[in-house]
Amino acid sequence: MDIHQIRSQIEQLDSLPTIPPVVRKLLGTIDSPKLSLSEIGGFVSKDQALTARLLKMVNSPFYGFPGRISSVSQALILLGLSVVKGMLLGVSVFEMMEKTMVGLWEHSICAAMAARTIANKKGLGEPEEVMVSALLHDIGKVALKIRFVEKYESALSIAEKEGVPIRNSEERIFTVSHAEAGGWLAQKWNFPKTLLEPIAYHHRPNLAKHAPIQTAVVHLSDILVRARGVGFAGDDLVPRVNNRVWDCLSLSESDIRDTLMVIEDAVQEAEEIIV
Amino acid sequence: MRLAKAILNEAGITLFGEGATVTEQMIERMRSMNLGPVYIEGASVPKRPLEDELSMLDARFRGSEGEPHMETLKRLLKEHIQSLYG
Repeated sequence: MDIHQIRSQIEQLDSLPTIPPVVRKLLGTIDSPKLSLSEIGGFVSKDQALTARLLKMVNSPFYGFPGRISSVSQALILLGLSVVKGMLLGVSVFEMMEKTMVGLWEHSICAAMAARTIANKKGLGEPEEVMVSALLHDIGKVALKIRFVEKYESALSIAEKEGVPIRNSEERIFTVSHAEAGGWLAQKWNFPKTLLEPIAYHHRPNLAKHAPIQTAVVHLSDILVRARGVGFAGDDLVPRVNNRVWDCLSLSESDIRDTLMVIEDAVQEAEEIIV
Repeated sequence: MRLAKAILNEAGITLFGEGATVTEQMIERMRSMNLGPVYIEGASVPKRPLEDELSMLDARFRGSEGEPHMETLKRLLKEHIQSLYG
């Protein structure tokens, strides 16, 4: 398949009717100093259903954000535009995720929780941002599946029959994997590098230049969730952990055990959150 | 039966505190308030027999035998899964 044609199709994901107009418009904005956070908050708040879902998500004990968040403006001030953008996208693509690949939502939510736990353990400044990038790390799978239904079914079938990772069968069919596809979307949506790189390089963390630690966290979170057998991400294999990631994060066995317990809690709650 | 987590309304105000005893009256009130998930204390029962879980774990790690970090991860996973079964 022609890669330019694939990219063009992928980048039109936000034109789907399931993406609310408010999110579509927000994804097109950059962190412009001309727009104040309260202006953006007011604009998002016009979509009441979306606002309610966002507030439900950020106030859920599951997410555990500090304090109580009662408005979009407050969420923007506390969490920043890119996190709120990512979460709005997360709640918007939830249905798409569930319909396109059963189990991908559970995988994504659990990866998000694992990433936040590891980010906190490593003392990263923006654990919520790492969490959002883990929540969206497989958005490329959604995009490929929605845009190329039959071809993606073939990729899934190859992965199952030949026992190979889904990213390998994706590359065989599309020449790119879901990670590159997700990176294209993150780029088009003006996500900062700290969100873009973990999405684009979660299988090749060595390539991350601007956000190597965040990318390492999402790489390991994906592996831990797959290792626990939670949800479904396209195949049942645990990817090998990158040696540099392992050394860079240098998590203790106790840290990993704690993260597994968080995943365990998330498994039980993933089905109940947001919906 | 006790609440494992506090139940909050959308404004973040606690309606029922963590550890509160759940009564029939409380359940009726919760129903009428259209609340989110309610968490009750107590360990959940694992869905599959332990042997099945462990053989699935082996299957997921196939192809990464001999990799030191993967062996460490697999051992931690195995211990973790075993701990869930008491």
